Amino acid sequence: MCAFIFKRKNFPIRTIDQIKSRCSILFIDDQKFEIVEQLREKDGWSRTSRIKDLDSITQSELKDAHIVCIDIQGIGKKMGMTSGLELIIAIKDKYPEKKVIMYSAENQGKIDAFDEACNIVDFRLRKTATRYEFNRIIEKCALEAFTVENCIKRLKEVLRNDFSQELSESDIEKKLLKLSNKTIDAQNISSVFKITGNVLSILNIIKFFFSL
Amino acid sequence: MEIKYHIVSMSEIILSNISTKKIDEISDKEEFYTFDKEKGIREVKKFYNDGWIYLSIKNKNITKKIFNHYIDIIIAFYSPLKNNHSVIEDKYNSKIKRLKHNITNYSATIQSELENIIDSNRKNIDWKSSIEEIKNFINDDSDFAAKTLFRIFKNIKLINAEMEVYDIMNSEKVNLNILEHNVRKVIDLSIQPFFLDFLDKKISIKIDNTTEKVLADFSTLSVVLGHVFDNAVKYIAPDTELKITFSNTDEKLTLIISMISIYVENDEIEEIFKEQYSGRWAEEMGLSGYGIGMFYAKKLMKINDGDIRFIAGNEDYKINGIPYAKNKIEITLIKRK
Repeated sequence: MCAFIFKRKNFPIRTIDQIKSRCSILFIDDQKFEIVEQLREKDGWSRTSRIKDLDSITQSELKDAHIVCIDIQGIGKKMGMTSGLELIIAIKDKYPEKKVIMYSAENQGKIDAFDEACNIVDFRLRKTATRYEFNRIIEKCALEAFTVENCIKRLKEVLRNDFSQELSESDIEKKLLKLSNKTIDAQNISSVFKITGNVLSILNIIKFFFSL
Repeated sequence: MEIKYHIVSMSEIILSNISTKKIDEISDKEEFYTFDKEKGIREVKKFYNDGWIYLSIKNKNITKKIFNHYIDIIIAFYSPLKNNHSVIEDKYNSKIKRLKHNITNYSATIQSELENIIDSNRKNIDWKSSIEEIKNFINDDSDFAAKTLFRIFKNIKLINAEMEVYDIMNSEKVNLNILEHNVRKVIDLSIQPFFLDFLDKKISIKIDNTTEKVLADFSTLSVVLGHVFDNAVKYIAPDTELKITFSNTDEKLTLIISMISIYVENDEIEEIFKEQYSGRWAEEMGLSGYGIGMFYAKKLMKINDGDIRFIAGNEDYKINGIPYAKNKIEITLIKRK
């Protein structure tokens, strides 16, 4: 007699080291910042780089970045903006899924005047934040975007809130697995999740998740 | 109705909503009163007290009598506005003064430490050999060089902590990054700048191991711990032990920092958390400083949904006439929301 063992297929787990080596972090800072070197050479974030300013919103370094860290002072000039805060708003508008971390030497009081940017960034840091803090916050952003569990949690919430669909986490995982063999586009998303209408929010989350 | 006003006291603008162009236009004029019937604009400039008042109202329905009432209201508010302005300025100045004072001290310390390594007093300075000189100095006395760097590291941490506290205490909206942190890691990072001072006093540091995580803003928590360790270094009895242990519930974690340090009288236990209060014996030793450390520590812990408590021990023994006791500081943090 042989017993059938149904092996449940799970999405391959991504370890933190895998995520760190593949996650692309872009610093936009007009001054040399030692933290960039430390993150890349010592802390395992091997795809960390810095540019002095942004030429265009479709610049390849920005397009390829998963996490963008911006020192708001002294940048945005190349694109005719008065400050990095406007740049942040433009980036979040074009790439809503990318994680944006804003850091500056300005004290809190002055920044409050630019509420809009402050509300849409994922995190704000002082320029004097320690290497540990930068690591911790970048890690938090990377885990939120790229671990299977977090992706599933986010999808569950959006499906519930925007599409009135209640799916279990294991169901969502199965659908993710299905999608991993297909092209990530609105049509496939709609058919796999059996949803209609504007699926952009779901598309963005999944596309970003697979972009690692 | 359009109302424009400009109130000056002792050449300082107290309240104004007119353009700089207009200010330039009227500042040097004598008192005047004008009425443009066509546009319905009444304007007045009046000297008052130690300054002057300007008022302009654009409204065809305002009579001269009503306009004069408006002037009377401004005059009535003149003194309170002026006093309020000085009060706000003084408050701001005293806060900035304290910040500047502390940062200047730390900066001076850093500068003098660096001058030990980067000697600027030699005659005939050969700039090209400067780097060689520093290298030689470090090689000749690497122990001293290492300790110098360490002391500089500590002072920079203290500068950053001052600025952080200043920002938090003087901002309406505070940006906190509440994340999970390994509590042992947080302690290690926060105590590190004080190692040398503990070493100088022959203090043995014993920290229990734990894998527990806490939910907090690292920056502010680090400042709180920095204040606690800074105090510990000052007040701990030499040649004793600093012990850090942990106590847990499902929701909370408490750090217990135990040491033999200067005695705090019973009636002072709550007072030490008040602004600008220093313990009697701390003052006696001349180490009290501004007495603001614990006050800020309490506030910052509240921001993190936590708390800090001082558990005073009974007087144990005396060193040079100063009484010491087994004291504890308890810091409570949350583990999850």
